[in-house]
Amino acid sequence: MTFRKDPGGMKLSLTGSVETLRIFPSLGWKAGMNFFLFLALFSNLASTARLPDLEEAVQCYWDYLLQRQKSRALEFVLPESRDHFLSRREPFFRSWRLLQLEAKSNRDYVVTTSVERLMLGSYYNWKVREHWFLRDGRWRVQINDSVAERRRHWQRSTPIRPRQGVLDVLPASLRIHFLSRRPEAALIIRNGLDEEVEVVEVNYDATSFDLVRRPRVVASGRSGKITLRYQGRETKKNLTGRVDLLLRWGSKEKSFSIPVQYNYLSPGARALLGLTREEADRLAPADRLTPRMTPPGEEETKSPPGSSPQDWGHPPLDRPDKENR
Amino acid sequence: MSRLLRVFLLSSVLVGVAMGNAWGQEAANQRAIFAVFLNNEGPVDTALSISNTLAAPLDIGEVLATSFANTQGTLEFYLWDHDGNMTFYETGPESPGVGLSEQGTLGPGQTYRVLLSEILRAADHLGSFAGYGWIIANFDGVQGTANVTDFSGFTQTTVLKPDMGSLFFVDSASAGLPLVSPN
Repeated sequence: MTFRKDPGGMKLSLTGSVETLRIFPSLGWKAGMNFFLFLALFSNLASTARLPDLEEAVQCYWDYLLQRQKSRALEFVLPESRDHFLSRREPFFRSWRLLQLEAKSNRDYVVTTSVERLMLGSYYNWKVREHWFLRDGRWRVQINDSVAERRRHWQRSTPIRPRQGVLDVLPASLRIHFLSRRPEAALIIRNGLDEEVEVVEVNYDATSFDLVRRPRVVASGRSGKITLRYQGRETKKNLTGRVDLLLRWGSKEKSFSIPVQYNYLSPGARALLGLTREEADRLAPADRLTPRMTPPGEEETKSPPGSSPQDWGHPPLDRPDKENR
Repeated sequence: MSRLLRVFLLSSVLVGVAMGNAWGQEAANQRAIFAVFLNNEGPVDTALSISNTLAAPLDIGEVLATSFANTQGTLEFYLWDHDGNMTFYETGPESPGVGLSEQGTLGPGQTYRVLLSEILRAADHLGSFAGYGWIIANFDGVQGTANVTDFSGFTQTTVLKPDMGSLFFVDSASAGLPLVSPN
């Protein structure tokens, strides 16, 4: 390959069967294509050349883990991941093998390995996918916060969103529980319309409730909350009322009427706490509550069918005679 | 299951509900399950799974999904901590966890997963918790597990009691203790 200066730029000559390339400040499409093909070939060769380094790093990392030498495996972990790596507990495994190297870029690979892991008394092949990055000339693995990752499967990731084109209010009925620490309940206005909605009116019984929160408008695609707090003046339980809303957008209006149960003690709660209706009505917030689920005495009731061995064709249980022991 | 047997079982359940059963006077369409130990102290939390078991294979499903059964509803948590104080929470639209409808109800065949710490936060409980709990389902078949875990390799699982089929009632194919309120 030779270089020759000429007034129009630099002429690049190649010997052999390769066509002579002219590289000028403004590239023609043919020359441009050849130039980019050359670059792609070069970068591919360069990244392929790094794969043996990556494979060697993966090999060392997993061999150290197999030998339970976690401190030596640490040098193959990205600095920002080292705390997570040290705090996680690897399950016992007896062998591993490399399955796949998947390039995200020439400095970022997803490495899949198969690990023969001990679970429930037997060994099972378990796939592990990890991100490896090339930094400062060395390949290192990224370890995520495994605790947070596992916890998120039990946590809601996104709030309830408005449905496209729909204006609605959740829930269909409100309950303010007697047993709640905070005697409040909230209505959620979900605005899935293309324009903002004005909360024109909120009608409720002001002798029983306080309006804690009320938005003036709810933007398009967003939700707004109306919160009612029960004043707690009555002792009687399971009272009922209503909350009426009037919402407006443009020239249109829509009203919602939401039933409310307040000072509410469910039948299940009464059953759990062993309370008659009269006892429930006398219950005060400061009363200490314990579950009192007791079955009825044998002399009072007939056992439900199928509850004794005789119902299933078995002989009655013999009690050992104490005197003959 | 033969048609005759199915008719017999349905009739028995209907008679039982109409006349009241051995436990008391008022049959509520609620079922309770008991969590033996719940804990969220230090690095530990309890991952709860609660299932609405009213979706079942053909024969069992025909017994369960009768016209008078509640098939969908909210969950109520009654939690007693180590010094006997009770914390209460009912699921709703903004409940934590995964698996509830937008109304906060659990439908047939669905499973709700939630961390104890998140239930306690939603119930305005301050501090950590170590104790037991009753979970009341506002539907007619409930089952669940409590998994005390540190999410780092230690997990202890207990099945919420009573579990499916462990009661000698006609409708023992469903799960949870049927609740009856005193009058």
